[in-house]
Amino acid sequence: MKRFFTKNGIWMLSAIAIVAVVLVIMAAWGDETSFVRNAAGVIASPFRSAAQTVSGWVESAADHFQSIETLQQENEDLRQQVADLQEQVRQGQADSRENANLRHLLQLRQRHSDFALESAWIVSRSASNWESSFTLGKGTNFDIAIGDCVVDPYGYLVGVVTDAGANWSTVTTILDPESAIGATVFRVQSTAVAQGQLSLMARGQLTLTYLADDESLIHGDLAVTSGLGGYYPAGLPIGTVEDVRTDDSGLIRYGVLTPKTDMAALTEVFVITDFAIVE
Amino acid sequence: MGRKKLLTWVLYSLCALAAAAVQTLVLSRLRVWGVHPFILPVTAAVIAVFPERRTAVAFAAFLGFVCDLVMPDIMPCFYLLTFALSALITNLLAQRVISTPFLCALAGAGIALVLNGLGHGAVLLLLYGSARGALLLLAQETVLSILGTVPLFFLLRWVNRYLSTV
Repeated sequence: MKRFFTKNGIWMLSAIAIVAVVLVIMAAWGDETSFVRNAAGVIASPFRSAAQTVSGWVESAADHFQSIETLQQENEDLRQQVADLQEQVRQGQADSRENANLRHLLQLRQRHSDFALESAWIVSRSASNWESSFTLGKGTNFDIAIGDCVVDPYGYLVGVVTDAGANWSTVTTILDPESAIGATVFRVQSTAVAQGQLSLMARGQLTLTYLADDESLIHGDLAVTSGLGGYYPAGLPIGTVEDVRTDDSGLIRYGVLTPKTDMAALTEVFVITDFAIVE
Repeated sequence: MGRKKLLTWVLYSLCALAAAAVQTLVLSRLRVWGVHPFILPVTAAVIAVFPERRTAVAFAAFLGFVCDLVMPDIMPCFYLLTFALSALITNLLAQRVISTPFLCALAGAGIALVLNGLGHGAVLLLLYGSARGALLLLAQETVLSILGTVPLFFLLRWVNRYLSTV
């Protein structure tokens, strides 16, 4: 046994461990992406893109097998949804006019939000079950920075950029256990925190924690980003309340949120590189 | 580097590439209990059943390094460390404890998956104190992923038989 530890593998493992520790220390020094990691990401970019291309071919081939009946049913549902939305738009336009008139009467500034969006394709997804993240094919060359919010084509919040290199960036989704974003329950305008949880991540859900004691959430309540602190834009839809539970201690209540966006189906997202909101 | 060693690395790399392709194209979309099988640690462990120790650890470290490049995880070099360690343990088991290669591959795969899960779980436990969720995920991932040992073992046994004839 002694010969084993002194002869071969243990030395290699020790050398690897030392290199790893050095890299961990380098990574811990600053919030910015280290040179080593940036270079590694740049080298890996073509391989990620190639893998995604092959994956895309397989997916499109699989789509051909989707039954016509399913598509017809989906088409019917979408038509109904369009009709409902058109009705809501008509109502919304009337409300907007009324709101503009009232704001004018009260001499308030026009409420608006301006986002600078950068579209990006997802080039790889984490294969790990322990995190929920993916890599985009664009990075700091396109003004994408750590902390930028990422939304899907419908404006629903997907996650936040947590690492960025020259031509790549990593997005940690709102399902990840390390993700925590200030939220507001739209109906009652109360603040909370939308937080990923390991046990819910597998089911594609997250928690709504730090609820006020007298908060009465109901199924279907919409949670949006609160924008408190100015780090993230306010009003981005996160998800709807599916359930309200009490933790193991029996003292703390939390909501279970189902995200508005389908993480598994995403192929293209939009990074909010800059925003200005006037309330 | 001798011709045989070069061929060994090329063939192992092709096997690992095949495993990565299956992982990306098939297994990542196949969800049971919301979890998908993760066969890359299994690959590193099963490879270590066959060659001499230095090659086993070196190849596992190389595979882990590539994984760290392509899918950054909780810390730099996480896969590099866990894959190399699991390869070292598996090779030790193969040479000193378990004489049946397939059983050794199963044991090695289990160790690799537990190391991978414990690494993640420990970090999450330190940060968020979610022990029950971490243990459940570790168990689910291990049960699902260890099935990947069977095809990988027979593929690599065939490769090693070919290499022994070169």
